[in-house]
Amino acid sequence: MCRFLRQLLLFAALVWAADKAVMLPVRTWSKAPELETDRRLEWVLTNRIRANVLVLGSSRGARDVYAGILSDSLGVPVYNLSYPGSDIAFHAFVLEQALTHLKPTPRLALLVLDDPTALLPDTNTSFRTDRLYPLVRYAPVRRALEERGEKSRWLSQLLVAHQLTRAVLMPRPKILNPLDTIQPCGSMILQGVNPAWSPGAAVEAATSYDTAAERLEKQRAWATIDEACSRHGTKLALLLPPNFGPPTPGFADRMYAMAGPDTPILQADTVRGALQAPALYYDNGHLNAAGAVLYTRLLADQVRKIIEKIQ
Amino acid sequence: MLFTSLDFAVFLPIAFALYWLRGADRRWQNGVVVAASYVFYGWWDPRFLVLMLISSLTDYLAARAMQRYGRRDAILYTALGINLGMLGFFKYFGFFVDAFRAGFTWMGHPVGGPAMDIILPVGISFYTFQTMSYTIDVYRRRLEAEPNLIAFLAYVSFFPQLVAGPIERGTRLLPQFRGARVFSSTQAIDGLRQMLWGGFKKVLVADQCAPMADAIFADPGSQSGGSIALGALLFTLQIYGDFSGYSDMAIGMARLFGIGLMSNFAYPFFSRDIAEFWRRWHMSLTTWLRDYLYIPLGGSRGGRWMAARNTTLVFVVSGLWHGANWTFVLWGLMHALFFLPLLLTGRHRQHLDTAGAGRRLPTWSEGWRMLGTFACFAGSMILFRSNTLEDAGTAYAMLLSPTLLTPPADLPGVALGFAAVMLALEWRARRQRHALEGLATRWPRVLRWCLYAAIALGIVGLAQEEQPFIYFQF
Repeated sequence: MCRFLRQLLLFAALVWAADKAVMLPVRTWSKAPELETDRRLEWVLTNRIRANVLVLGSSRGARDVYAGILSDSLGVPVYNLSYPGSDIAFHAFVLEQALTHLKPTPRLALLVLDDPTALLPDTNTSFRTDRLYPLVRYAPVRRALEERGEKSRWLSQLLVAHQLTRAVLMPRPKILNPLDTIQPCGSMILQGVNPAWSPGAAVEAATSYDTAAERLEKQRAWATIDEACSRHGTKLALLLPPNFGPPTPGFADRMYAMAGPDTPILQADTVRGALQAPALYYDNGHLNAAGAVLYTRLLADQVRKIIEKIQ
Repeated sequence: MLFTSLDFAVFLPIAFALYWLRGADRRWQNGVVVAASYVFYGWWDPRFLVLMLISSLTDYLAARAMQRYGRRDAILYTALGINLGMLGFFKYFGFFVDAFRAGFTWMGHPVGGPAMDIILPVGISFYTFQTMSYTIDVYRRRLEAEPNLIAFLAYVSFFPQLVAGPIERGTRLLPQFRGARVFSSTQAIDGLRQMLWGGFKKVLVADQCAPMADAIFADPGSQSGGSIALGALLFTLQIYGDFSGYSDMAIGMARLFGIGLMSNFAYPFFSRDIAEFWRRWHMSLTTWLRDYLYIPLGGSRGGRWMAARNTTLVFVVSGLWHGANWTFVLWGLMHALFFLPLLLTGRHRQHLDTAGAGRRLPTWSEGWRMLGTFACFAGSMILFRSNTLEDAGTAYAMLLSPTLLTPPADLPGVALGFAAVMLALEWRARRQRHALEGLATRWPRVLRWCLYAAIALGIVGLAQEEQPFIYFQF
């Protein structure tokens, strides 16, 4: 038994030493972050973005809000940190990191809400762990992966190897999807019209909003966003961007109820307003470049009022 | 509690320390095995413990009664009825109800009625077959009924092999629980090596192949024939890495406790025909079906056609054992069709040795035969992996279409790289119990330990979420 235990301990010591000698340098000097085409999150973590106003959301935030135009209109730096396919829990994570690491701290956060799935179950959006995998050299990213059960906290503390991901161990250059071309302001503006989309086709009538179906995890993420903004003295405003189809009955009311009186909601009017024309849309859920420019200009007036109030 | 989970990493050292706490004390060791195994199994769902206890007590009492009171036939059939009844209810109830409904509907008499949502207790097929083999062996007077209940419970519930085998026999495992186990450093260290190799196959091969295989089989209709072929290859590597990895971990772990378990895999991908393949794949189930189904049905004693009938039946039962789905039944039938030509021409036992005997590499002829056998098995895995017969039909249609020549958009280089390493090391060790065993005598210690450390770090590094073993669902 003594021989067995001695060999086991020796082997454990060897693994521990090899882990520190090999995996720590791999984690520190991996090329994975540099091989990413979307480096916005890394820039947040390393305080390489200057913005008074942040835009957060999923693809609607990334496609519909042209941060560069907003910045020109307002005369303050605006940066878009929206990630296509991300859910509100991911928005909360990005906002938390931005408010913690960016100096000076952004004064206003514009959270773009998806109608109707902001708080409802949705298979099209998720917590984008794939955006985190290449960035495990940063402690907040490792903590997020641990909190989401992707990694074991205890094993991570014991062995650096467990902190790593395949993206770090075997990094590969990412192939850029032309749709996801990131502007210097962080927005991902779409050009033209989706060939698969037919604006003339009947738009499915939205069913009423079901509050009982809301996901607890998403409600908690909302609370996290609220709390992070209060803690850092950042004003939160909610955006309901335009859809080509009619809005979901009851969704906006629910968002107003969730937001409370101190959080402004900037709602696009697609029924009677200027954002009706099919030519402004890439598909049912996203504006194209022309639509994004128009929507952002309309938005700028409302955002300016909020900024004036803050000041 | 998965072998690759943190819970198990805490559980195993505690069980190990308690087991050897009082040295070679048989009663203490068996008590620890039973307690640890019930904690291990109850971790999934404490309700499962009741089922395992019923199964264990049924066979324990049945064997004792057979020995004491006579009326052996009645007792045997009662015990088998209870075991098969439990297995049938929990695993096949929904399947047969659906089949009856479909049959009556087809005859023009639609049948409704409420559906039951029955939880499948993990590992029920494994321990049920194990307990049944014990009762049958006592009935056949090949084994004395075990008088000690704790030793018997240890035999049924021994946690390393409880949920996914190997399916042990009473004749082999029970005698080990009757005597005290003495610790052997050499055995324990090689057991750890075997566990490490099992971890390599599970985490670095199976779990790396799984995401793309899952994605391909999630929607076979949208895939090209080339992608379906890739999916079949990846799933074949995945299921081998997963199941043989589990078996290696179970056998290695049992050796830490001084218990020897039977081999479950003997490098099946180096088989030169499908008959040899089935002598090397999931051997504990194959030999179980041979001893408790094929031979009682008459085996080959009634000539070739009777052997063919019995072989077909064994393959169908083997398919059904894997799951309550027509895909598994057809999978079994497909393998019977692969096997029968060899049986009927008397060539099913022509490869009883190991491929590449006395050579470093196989001959061209052996290489082609191995490749052909692998291709047959991988092709059958499309049926095994598909959720429905319709999905399987779609996948085979795509496979046989001209799109077979369309290369897949993405190749999982990492997974295939690890699989190549696995196959290379296993080829070198094809006469040994596991791939790292041969290295222990051939490589210098420094080199060996570096390899072990690299594997350990690879496992720790690439282990992401807890990935359950495929065979737990069976």
